[in-house]
Amino acid sequence: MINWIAANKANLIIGIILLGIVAAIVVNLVKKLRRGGSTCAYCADADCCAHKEGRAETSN
Amino acid sequence: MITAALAGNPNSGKTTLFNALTGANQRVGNWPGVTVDKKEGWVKKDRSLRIIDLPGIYSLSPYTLEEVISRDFLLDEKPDVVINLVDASNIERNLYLTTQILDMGIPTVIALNMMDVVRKAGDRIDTKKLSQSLGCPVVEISALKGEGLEDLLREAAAAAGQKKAPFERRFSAPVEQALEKIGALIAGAVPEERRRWYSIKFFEQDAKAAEKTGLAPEALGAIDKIIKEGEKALDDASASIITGESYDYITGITSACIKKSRKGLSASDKIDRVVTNKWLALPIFAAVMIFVYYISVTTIGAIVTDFTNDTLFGSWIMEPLAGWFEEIGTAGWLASLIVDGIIGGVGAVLGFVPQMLVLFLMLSLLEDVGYMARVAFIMDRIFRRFGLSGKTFIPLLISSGCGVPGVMASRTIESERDRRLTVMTTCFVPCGAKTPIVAMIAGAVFGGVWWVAPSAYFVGLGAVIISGLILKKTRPFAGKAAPFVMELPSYHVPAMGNVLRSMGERGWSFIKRAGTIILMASIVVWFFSSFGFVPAEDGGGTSFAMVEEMDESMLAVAGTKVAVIFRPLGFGFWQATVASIMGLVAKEEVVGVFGVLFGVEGDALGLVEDGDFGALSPIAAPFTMLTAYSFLVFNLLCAPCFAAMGAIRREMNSGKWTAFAISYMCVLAYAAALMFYQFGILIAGAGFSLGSVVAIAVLALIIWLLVKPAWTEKKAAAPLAAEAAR
Repeated sequence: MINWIAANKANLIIGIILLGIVAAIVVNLVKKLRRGGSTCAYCADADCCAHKEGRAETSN
Repeated sequence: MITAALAGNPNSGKTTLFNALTGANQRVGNWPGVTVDKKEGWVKKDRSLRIIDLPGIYSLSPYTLEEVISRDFLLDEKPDVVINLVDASNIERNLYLTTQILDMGIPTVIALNMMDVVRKAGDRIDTKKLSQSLGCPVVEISALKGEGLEDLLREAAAAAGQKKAPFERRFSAPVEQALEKIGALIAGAVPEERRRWYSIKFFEQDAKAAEKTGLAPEALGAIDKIIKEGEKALDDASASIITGESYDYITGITSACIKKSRKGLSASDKIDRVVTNKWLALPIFAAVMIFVYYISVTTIGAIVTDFTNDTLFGSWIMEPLAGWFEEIGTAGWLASLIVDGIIGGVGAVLGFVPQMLVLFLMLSLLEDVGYMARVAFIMDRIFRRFGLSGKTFIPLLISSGCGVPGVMASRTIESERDRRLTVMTTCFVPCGAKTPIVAMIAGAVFGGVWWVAPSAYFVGLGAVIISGLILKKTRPFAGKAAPFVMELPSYHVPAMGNVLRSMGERGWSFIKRAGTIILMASIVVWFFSSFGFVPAEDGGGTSFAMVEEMDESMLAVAGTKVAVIFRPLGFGFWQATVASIMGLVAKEEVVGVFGVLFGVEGDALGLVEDGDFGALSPIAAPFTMLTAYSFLVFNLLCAPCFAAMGAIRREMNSGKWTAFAISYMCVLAYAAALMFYQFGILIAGAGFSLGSVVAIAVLALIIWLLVKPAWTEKKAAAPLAAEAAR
């Protein structure tokens, strides 16, 4: 087991980092969707859009 | 806590003031209608003061959605004070709303904005006299420069302590008598401090205000009698009487408080004589848009994009990273996932950020200068001929950044038919996310010629006009286009802070999306394009494994089956099919998919720029110029991304209408790409085929839809009338 870990340590470290990034993105997207409750969470203009209700409330 | 409502005419600078007071980053635009919902924030220096930014309105009559939102807020939420932003350079028209707000009896402070424009014109406003005449504080401010804001907040806090505004304007004797009688009838049914306002609204026959009181039919009958007496005495309709007397009152105030120094045309008027000229307006608009796209996609933007693609992602990131993975003994699949999948996909999209930033900068400049408001005016003349209103152009304008706020901006259109039509067509305009597709095709296949990018914009506008012509002739959309009344703001030197902020925020949002949605989608595309069912090593059956050739992958197998649909359009190969479908996740993903599937991460652009066609990257290999442009047309016009589809669903408020809108876009995109490709190969001498027949039939159908008589109520009623006559 230890030998296997030693032989694959590069894969394991990179894999864990990658998994962590993917998990962070998924959590972030889910959070955004729940908070926004709208499609604006995906929108490229969401941060500067005047149309999303209550945006200023969250930014202040 | 004090609640202050920020109210004012469209384009008077409310959002700029809101941002200056609260430190928020709400989008500011030099055209009316930027704000369609109310927003709230707290003053950054005094957290006990809450500011509500109401949509821009000309009056408190409930004719438009913005007016309803604003009026309901002022009536139901009872703010402690109203900060009424008045454009000093247009004071007479702005004061109409002021008098209506003051009629409500809410303590009010007038913020006189754009005084610099007034001073520059040599005019003078006596603010002390104005304050005395209106019975409320008047503070000179500059929302843009942040001047006078502390005085404004101090006055607002002081005014909030009062229960009722001391102002009460007087109408002519017959109107005052009527208002007194109505006031007596509605006493008890409305709050005492709003009694006069409700009396005026009853006299104006404002049905929505009357509805709110829930008055008994007998009282309503008595009020009706009083109104008729007033109308008889003044020989006019009651609503006109109130409007006319309001303007008489305002003229009286302004003639006493304002001294105008100059007559004749202002600099804005002189510029408008050229840019809105009947014959010159359109060529100027076309030249401006060609210049904007040429600069952003072909010249400055392309230079920086080439550096990003070739040097940054190619030489500085991918090559060293691939070598390092090999050095430390990373598994081939993991290195491939990161280098080819993630960096290839995300990098291909990020490579176009410089072009997008330049495009956003140019569009923001045009908006801030005030030119885009003129374009809406110019387009109204053209759109009206095709049954569309100039109001449609504002959503189209916003859509050039992103389709989602563009679709949402259509809610300012009162007519439901026009609103639906606008929602259906607004996504045809190339949004920021479609720009990388345009840049990729223009650079990789067309060798960076100047006309491809602007032509994409005009393909979108053409689709809007043709759709307007076709759909307006059908029953669900028939009818005259709604009138479009818009104030043209004065031209001004763009506020670079606003312009750069708008550009930076749009660009940053794009980058963030590349790091989230595009990254996830790239992983999915890499997985399905790297794995598949291959012959088992023992020789029997198949096994699931990483494929040697991408053509054996699951994505290739599935994509090849679907690709048949696109064969008549010229791009019936699986990579283009997958890219078009993945474009529904986010339009930039079309480029991301090419990056992953062809492993070029945008290097093609540099090769094309260098004229190194022998080593042309695989991205251009499956395309001819004809098929590439057909692919571009299809992806520009077909269903937008899921986010925009969600916005369409919300604005349509109907599953059926949403399905119709999405289907219409897809069918139109397919028809346009089909005709383009089939006629293209016919002209190129490929001979007549079944595809040519279908393309001719589609063209004939479109021509018939364009020229057929429009549906009218009269025509529809004719057979029934004939039946009845028999």
